Amino acid sequence: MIIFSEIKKIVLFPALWGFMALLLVFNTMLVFGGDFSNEIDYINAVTTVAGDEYGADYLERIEAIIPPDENSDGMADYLHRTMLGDAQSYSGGLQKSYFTEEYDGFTKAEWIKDNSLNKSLLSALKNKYEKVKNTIAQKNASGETDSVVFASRTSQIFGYASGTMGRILLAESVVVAVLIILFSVSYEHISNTDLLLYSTKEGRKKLAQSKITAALIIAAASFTMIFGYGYGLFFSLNDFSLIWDKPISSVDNFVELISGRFPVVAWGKLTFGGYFILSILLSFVMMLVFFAFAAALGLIFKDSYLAFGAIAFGAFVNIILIFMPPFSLAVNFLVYLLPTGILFSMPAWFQYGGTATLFAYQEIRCTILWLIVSVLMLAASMRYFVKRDIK
Amino acid sequence: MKVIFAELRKIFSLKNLIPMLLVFVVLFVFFDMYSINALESESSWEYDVVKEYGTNLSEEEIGKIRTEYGAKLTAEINELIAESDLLKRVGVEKYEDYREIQNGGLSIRINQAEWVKEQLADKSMNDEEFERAMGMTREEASTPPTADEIAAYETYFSNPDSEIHQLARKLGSFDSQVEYQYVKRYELMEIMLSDDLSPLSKAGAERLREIFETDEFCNIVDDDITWKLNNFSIEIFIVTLACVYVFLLPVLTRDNMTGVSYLQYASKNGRKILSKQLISMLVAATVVCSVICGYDIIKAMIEIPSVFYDCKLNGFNSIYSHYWFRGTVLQYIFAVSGVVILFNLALTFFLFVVSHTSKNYIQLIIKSLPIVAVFGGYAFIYGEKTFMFKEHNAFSDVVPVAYAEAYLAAILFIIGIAVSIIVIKRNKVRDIL
Repeated sequence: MIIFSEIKKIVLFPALWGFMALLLVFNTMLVFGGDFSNEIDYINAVTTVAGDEYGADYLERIEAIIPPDENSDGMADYLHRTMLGDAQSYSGGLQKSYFTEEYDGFTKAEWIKDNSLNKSLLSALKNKYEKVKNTIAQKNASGETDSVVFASRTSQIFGYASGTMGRILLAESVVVAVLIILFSVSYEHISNTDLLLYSTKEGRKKLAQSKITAALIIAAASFTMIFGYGYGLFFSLNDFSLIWDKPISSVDNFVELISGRFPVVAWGKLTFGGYFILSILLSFVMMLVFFAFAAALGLIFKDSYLAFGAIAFGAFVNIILIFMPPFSLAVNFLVYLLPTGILFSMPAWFQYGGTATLFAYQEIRCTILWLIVSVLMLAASMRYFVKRDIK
Repeated sequence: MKVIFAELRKIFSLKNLIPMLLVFVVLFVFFDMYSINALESESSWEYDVVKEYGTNLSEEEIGKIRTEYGAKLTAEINELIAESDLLKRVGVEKYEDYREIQNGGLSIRINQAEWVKEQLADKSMNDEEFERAMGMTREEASTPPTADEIAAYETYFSNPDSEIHQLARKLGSFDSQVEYQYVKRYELMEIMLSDDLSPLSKAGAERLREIFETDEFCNIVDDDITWKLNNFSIEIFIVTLACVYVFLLPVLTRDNMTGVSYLQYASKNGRKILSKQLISMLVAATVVCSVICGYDIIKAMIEIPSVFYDCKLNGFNSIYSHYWFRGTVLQYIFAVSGVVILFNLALTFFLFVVSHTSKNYIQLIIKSLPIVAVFGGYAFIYGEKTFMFKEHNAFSDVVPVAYAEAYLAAILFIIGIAVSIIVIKRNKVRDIL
């Protein structure tokens, strides 16, 4: 019963829903800003004639396609030329030499010194690049890297859906979840009813638990609303059936991060659709991490502004460190292990990820670790909240 | 006045100051990474010329500098070359020889030996094509560098600490900028006015033509200085807005939450306090901005060599990124600070409205997030282009008007005043229940 009453308090907070409405309007604009119908239509037309995998005679097949008239449609002509260019530069799967050179670059003596790379970082890097080479060998052998559907500008679809939309949707869900939990735990203080309601330890405990549960339910609903509406609209307006079940580890697929542009090499056999399902699940856990941190801080500080400020400042410092000129590679690797860094590296999730990852499945391992830390912190702050003196 | 001072004391409490200082420190460290070294500007040919001949030169003076300064640098380099036996052994006796080797294939032969071998093995190019592509004949390419050549390359040609290398770089930059940007002035003007890659607005094209056709073109300013001024603009714009935002946002909401505002509004005179609170917020914003701007101005003045203070921002050697602004470096610094303060005062009006109309902190955060999203989004997309009064910048790229940022600040300021007046008037008649 208390939970229902707490849910009612949140639901009847108009500013929150006004904010949600604003976010949905913004997300609609975001979806309409990502129109890839030209790319999809052209890839569809090409693969129908020439097939959707690179092979011995693929170049001949694509060269036989009549190029679109340059004057009638500039975009079709551009897509044709870039797709042809990708086919011409295909040299039999992902190249190991790219990764070997990158690793050799990191392990040069002067580079190690200038970038404060210590033994454990170097050992993690060594393991990562060994794993990348094995993964590439397997993928090349199985033909997973030969899908042509990410050629031309199609790889930008992956970048837009994960890099632009994914990160924004997750950031919005995190902000909404933090606001919900902070509103819920500070409600009695705002209404001046805290002295009355928190007069016994047992009552305080029960009420705090109910508040957290109620806020969690609403936060989960908000997450569903934000991701469901954003991705739902995006995937319904763009027909991705052609690439949905294609592996993302294609020779033509790249991700762009602050630190550079990297080839997509998923650790496992991951399709375009599979990536999004997994990333939504991980995003939910990531939202829970921020929720738990906010709940813990909300219980410690009576002042919800201070609690929000602490979380915002942490995220702000993390973002600033990501945007800092790379004064040290060690710092560059470490900032992506922090919660906001993990959020920022979303397009590189479940893959090699260039300088944004230090080890395989970094985002999953770190998110779980942060979830454990935040839950422990919540438990400790709950203990403090129950035991503290009411003033 | 008493109320204003009391409000100011409340605003300048540790509770507000600490978050602002934290934000300031983080942003300070961030922007400090982009700072340039003032000494680098002192080793440029622009520094020498401005120091010796002054600023705002006439065409005759530029002509004189062309012969005098070039000859002086060449003599200095020749003197240093004469002292080196190693350079003599590789056939360098004067600056022309040095330049020939510098522009020739020695660097490629030493650094890209494997690639040179591959190119030699490739018989698809004839000798003429090979020379054009590689900058050396097949015979030269097939001759491995001698020990002396490698030593000379490492000591005098690729070593940035070598005095000969520094002087040759200075002379090369002077020659090419005078030759291609000053002497070929009208050819360059036509190219720039018809440049499809970076199209100019009508006003931008007029301004560029004006620079080319007047004495402003004869001015000399170092690229490092305009780079420094760009950083200065970005830094004070972003740092002041972030600090004022964090500093002033919760001020009035705190009164609403503690019920102090309701107590104040219980009497007719008490309701006048709101306008005094606005005045104190504006004073506080001005103080914070002035301190940050003052700090940044001092920092910029230390980093920019004083010989450039009176230089105008546009000149033949910085023509590729020109400014609307017609004043000097020093005037620019103060003008930018003025516009930044205006932006911050405009922001203060909006913070006043948001802070006053929020009953609790969560409401305050929610209401202020769109402001953060708009400013943050703008800074994310255009942040690196928020340098002021430039032909291409974050403001005039969106609205192609000269001094678009100053107009924007003024418009936001006027809107802010209007909205604040409405809020204050409504507060005088509203029901406090």
